[in-house]
Amino acid sequence: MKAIITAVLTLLLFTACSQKSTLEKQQTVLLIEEKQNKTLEEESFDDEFSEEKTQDLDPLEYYNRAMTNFNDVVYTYALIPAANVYKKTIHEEVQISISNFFTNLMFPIRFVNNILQLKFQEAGEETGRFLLNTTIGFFGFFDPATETKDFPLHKEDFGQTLGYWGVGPGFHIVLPIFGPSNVRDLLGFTLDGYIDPGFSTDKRDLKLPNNLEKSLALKTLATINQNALNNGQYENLKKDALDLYPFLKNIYEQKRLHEIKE
Amino acid sequence: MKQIYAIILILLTLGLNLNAIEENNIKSVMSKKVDNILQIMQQKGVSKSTTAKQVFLLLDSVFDYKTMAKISLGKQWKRINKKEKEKFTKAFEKKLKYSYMDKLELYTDEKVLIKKLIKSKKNRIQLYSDLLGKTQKFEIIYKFHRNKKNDWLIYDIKIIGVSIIQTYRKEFSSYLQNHSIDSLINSL
Repeated sequence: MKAIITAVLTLLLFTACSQKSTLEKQQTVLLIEEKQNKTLEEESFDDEFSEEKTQDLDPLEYYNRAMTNFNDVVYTYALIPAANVYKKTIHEEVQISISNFFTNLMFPIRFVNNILQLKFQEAGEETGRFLLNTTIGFFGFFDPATETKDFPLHKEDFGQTLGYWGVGPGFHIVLPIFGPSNVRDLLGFTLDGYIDPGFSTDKRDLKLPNNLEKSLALKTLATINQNALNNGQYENLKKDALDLYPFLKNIYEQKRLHEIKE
Repeated sequence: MKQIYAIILILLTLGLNLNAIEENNIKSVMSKKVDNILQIMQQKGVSKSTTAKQVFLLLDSVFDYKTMAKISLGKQWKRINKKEKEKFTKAFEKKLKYSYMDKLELYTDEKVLIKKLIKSKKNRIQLYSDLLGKTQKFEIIYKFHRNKKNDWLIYDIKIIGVSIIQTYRKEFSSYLQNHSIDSLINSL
């Protein structure tokens, strides 16, 4: 009898022990998993976010910084005050109409670049949009296309087309007035100028302006109008920067990368 | 029986206090929060600080400020001590809120459209939304991660492709190349 009891007891003890050890095992497995999860999570955050590389190619840094400061002065003391006066004199409805007009006018750039990126459906929607807004929307001053939701805007430019076909951004270049750009986008910007109906320096062109002065006047109106609508955005953004040039550069490059991927 | 009621009661109150979001109601909770924020913004004659307080009351439970601070500091996070980490996290949260409040001032009558939810990984979810301005549309993506308590929290916001935390991370790492962590904390 004693033997049986001892046997049962040992058995019980044994199972208890083994249960305990499996429990421990499970716990250690869980702990390891948790550790792995944690490191996995940290690693994936590191994969998701890059850091400033010291070897970042920026041969024009000295010029870029100077131009960023120059632009900052122009924006702060000329463009923004002008836009503020404009905002007070021109009714907002009119500002929106002018903005619509310029957006509609840039249709050829968007159409060509959608085609060049093989985005045929988007190119079709852009065409529908242009036809609707030019006719019913009275030369594009009104935007019935956005209200119908059938013809969304598909912003594409040559810089994005080049990026689509694998052209890298190259080094960063800050343009006077226009602000951040890079080698790829500057080339794209120049190419866009050829099909931009709002810009021409040649009398023979069938475009809205036919000389440099008229072109510049039109671009200035578009810029001031847009700034009046985006009132306060630049000053607001600037406050977040510890160092303005790399801050704007970083934002610009992130935004362009997103626009190309889209 | 009494015990069961007590347990249910405890569970209920726990559930109520648990402000963090579960996976299947991220969209609805966020829609509600956004609607509430817009309502707060449309109030008239309310001081800026009251508005901010009301807004942050809604956001604090879904914003993972600590993770944001940690990611934004990148590799440097492991190199600083516990006290510096705490100080930095606090300063960063303050800076983030200050900057957010500033952005709220630009708000006029834009509408927000919550679009879709994408689960990119087991512990990552992106909520897509559009801010509809007068002539432009801005895409805003709220990025959620699942923490150890199984709550989904926001660790980054992407506005037209620009990640807020990525922008800070780059800024901080280039700033720290020739400044100390203390001077960074002070400049925030």
